[in-house]
Amino acid sequence: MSDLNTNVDAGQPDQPKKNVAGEFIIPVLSVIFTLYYVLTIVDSPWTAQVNAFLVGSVLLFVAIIFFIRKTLALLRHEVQFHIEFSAFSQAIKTPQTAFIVVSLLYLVFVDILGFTLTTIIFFWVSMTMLDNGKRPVMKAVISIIMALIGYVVFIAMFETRLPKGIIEHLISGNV
Amino acid sequence: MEVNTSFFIDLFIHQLELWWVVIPSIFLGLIVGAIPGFSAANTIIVLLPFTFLMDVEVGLVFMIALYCSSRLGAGIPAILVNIPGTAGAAATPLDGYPMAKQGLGQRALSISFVSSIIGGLLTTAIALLTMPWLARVGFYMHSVEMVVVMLFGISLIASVAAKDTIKGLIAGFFGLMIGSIGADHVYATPRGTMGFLELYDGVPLIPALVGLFAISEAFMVIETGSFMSKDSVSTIQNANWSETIKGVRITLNRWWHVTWTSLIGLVIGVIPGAGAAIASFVAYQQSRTFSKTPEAYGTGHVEGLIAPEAANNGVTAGTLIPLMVLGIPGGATAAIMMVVMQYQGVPTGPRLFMERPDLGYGVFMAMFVSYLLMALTILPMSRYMSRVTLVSTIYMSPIIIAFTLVGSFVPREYLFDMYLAFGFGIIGYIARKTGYHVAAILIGVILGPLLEQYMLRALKMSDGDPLVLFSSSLGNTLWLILVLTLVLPTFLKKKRQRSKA
Repeated sequence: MSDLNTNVDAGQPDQPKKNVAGEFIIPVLSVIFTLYYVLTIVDSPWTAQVNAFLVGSVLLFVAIIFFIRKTLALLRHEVQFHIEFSAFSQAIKTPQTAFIVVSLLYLVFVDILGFTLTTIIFFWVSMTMLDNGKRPVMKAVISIIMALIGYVVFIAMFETRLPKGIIEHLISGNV
Repeated sequence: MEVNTSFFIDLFIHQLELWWVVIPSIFLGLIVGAIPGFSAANTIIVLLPFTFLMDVEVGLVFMIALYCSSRLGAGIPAILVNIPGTAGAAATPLDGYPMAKQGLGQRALSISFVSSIIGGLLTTAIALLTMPWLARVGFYMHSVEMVVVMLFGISLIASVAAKDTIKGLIAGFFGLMIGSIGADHVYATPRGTMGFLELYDGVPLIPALVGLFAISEAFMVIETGSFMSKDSVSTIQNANWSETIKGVRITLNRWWHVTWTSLIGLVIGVIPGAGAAIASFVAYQQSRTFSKTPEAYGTGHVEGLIAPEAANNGVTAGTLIPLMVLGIPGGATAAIMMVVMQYQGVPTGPRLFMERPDLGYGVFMAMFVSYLLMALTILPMSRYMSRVTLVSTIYMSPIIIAFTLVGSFVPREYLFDMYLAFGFGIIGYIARKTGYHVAAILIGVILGPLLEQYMLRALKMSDGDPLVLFSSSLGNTLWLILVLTLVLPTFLKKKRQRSKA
């Protein structure tokens, strides 16, 4: 209802119409996933199917209502639907996108370089990047301290089997 | 040994004398509760060799204090930075985090601590007095009744979705579908696993929890540079002890709310396998249903914070009742306690109260003392803890990402779970950006598999006859209450509007 309510403003000439393209991501994702899920259980016994058919059918029903409502709102020119490719190129340059990419790289490298070293590098790179390169030395000190706290808590205290790298081997004397 | 008032007084004094075990355990519990992925259960497992070396009574007191404070500790990051430490605290940030964002973190922590402590004290006292009767609750709650209990929790999706029903339902049912991933409960047929062996056991809760709440929040707050607005920052900078006292007073004024929501936790805790997550969701949903201001829930409403915190601490006493009275552990921590007791040659079940009443009742008295000591040790810390929200997101976001990713690794020690948490973080980020409620997705992920499990069990017993869900009188009563709680808010709202007009 709220998206339709916002259209009251959208109808005014000086107010830009609300772009609803983003709102389609979750419903489309959920419909694709539901259809994939149903494909995986077609030949399964009923015990494997019953929940998916109950939940999946409600989800598809609600998603269809969503699509119909948005289509009607589009036809009434209350909202707009357009994917701005220029916005994508702008979004790529934002700190959020860079931070998401650095976070993903952290996951990739933690298995190669080990927990402590990767965490130090991740902290330093992301903190410096988010602060536009200001005070890199102070951030390096914070990064080392925080990563070592992580080492003490996760590896030394609770013996979590996090990926080990050069620092962990140095500390345990296994180089 | 006669069990009378003087016995309980002696027991209380004796447990107080063990403060040197209780207080360090409280602080350890706070830490493990606050770190996502760690829990009282796996900490006790790590420290199991030490508990074997301790005297059985000291070992049990250590485990109890750690268990209770970890429940309380899980609420701290949930309120301050939107990271529930455990699934039991998943409903806490719904109103706790908006309070912190308004600069009321100190007050929110104080409310959370007081409601947890009162909830814990009250349910422990009730457990001490009514153990034999409460233990029987588990006997009456079969799969049919549990289906309805799960639906109580899941109906919270409708409440969360109140602002935009269709989008809320899409998010909730998407969560339920995600929760259905994994081998089916009867024939172990893999479903929706996308070929990942790591998903055969279903979607692990911690990666979903930290991904949807913490990682997506870490991505979101970079835009603002701070968890709070400038006004909120000055509010928290100018806060003094009076904020903590105000939180205490606010909670004490709502003593009835704390009482009945903690009782929900106690009753659900007694049911084996139910747990704190269900209790806190059900308590939140019921609190909202009977509130005069349901529209305020989700915006930093005091009662929306009290309900899940009182309930998940009510669960602690509840989970120990089946272990102590019947010898059936009601949860992971209770199961580990049973191992320790068996190792030390202490019986569980009815024999415990005949042979060692000091231990049987002592466990609950230790819980009572732990909550009392928590009031003295943790409550004053709320002022300093709330300062976490003043730390710039430049430092906080990377720390949240790294430590929550590691937290999602801890329970199963699969690197896959870190990627899964990241994936949930991206879903959560998109959901927040496009106006979908991440809490609705999470409720589905947490409660969906449990609902399926109980429903399948009921259907298997009746050869697939769905009418089995309406075959028991207790179940039908619960159905009736469920329908009433769903219909009642609309009815009350209309009535209020009419009386206003």
